[in-house]
Amino acid sequence: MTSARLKLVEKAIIDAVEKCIRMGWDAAYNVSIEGESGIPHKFLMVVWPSKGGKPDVVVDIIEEEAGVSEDDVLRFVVKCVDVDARYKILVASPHLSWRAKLLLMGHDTKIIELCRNNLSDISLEIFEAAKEVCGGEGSRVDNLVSVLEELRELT
Amino acid sequence: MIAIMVMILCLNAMTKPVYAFKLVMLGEYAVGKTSLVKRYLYDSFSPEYYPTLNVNISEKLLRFSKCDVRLVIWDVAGQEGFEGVRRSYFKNADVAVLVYDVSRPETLKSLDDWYASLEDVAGYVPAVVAGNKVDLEERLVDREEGEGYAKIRGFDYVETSAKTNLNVKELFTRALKSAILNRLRAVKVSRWKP
Repeated sequence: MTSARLKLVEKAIIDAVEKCIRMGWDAAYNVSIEGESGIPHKFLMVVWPSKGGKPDVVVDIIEEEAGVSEDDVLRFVVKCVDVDARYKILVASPHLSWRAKLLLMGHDTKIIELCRNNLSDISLEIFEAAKEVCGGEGSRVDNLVSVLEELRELT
Repeated sequence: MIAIMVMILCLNAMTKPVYAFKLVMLGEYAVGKTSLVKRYLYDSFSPEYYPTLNVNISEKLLRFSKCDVRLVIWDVAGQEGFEGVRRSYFKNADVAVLVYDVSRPETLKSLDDWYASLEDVAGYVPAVVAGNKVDLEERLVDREEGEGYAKIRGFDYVETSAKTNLNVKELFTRALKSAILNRLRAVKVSRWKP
């Protein structure tokens, strides 16, 4: 991947981190999490619904000029199992082999292939995934309505 | 018994979601943007004027029963010469506080330009207009004029004095309310998306 393209991917991920933080979730870019084995694993992005605990969404990127193979994605799958992530997103550059796709589908992983998806899709996909697993809009609406009620009482 | 209750309260505090809101302070130089922020955050006031360089970012954690709110305040420099970088600070703003000085009528007129630059970057952002320095005797913009300006544009209006601490908390509370209402509206709209 060219450094200019890598920067754009980075920008899209940081944008997703910002969006998640604005929703009140803990999200971070370039994170190392200790798995159940005690081994630390690096992810491009992680989202937690509240402080601490197991990650709800993990995002990583694999790039392989000739296409990302099943061997390449195995490391990602094992990392996700070890940290017990609920929702996994893998950004593949430029694309995945069909065997790799099969492997990821068996592990309930959202795939974003850079040859097919726009860079803006990355940010949106991650944000939508986080929304789905981090309590959704229902609880957010209730919480914010209760803040409004409390503010009304204060003023 | 008390220990158990304290433990429950602590656990509740640890697991409560935190919602972040970005507030941008806008207005001409020396209208009192930084003084309002300092009064709100630290309950302090300094009569000397120290111009803000670029931007000061500070935050206040507000605790509520079901969740906490992190109000992130971007106090943007009012001087000319920062236009280029300033626009980048407006991204993802949830609410704006438009500050003018009641003793300088030109600072009220310039608020349209400030809001236009914000809208250019962030789209529609709810705002609260603050007529600041109402403690000064040489007031040249009366309440009706400020209120009318805000009303026409659909913004809230508050008269403030960072010096005497008049309505400072009220100003930020109203800004937070506007930000929450706008976010709730956005949720409602996105739910009905086909």
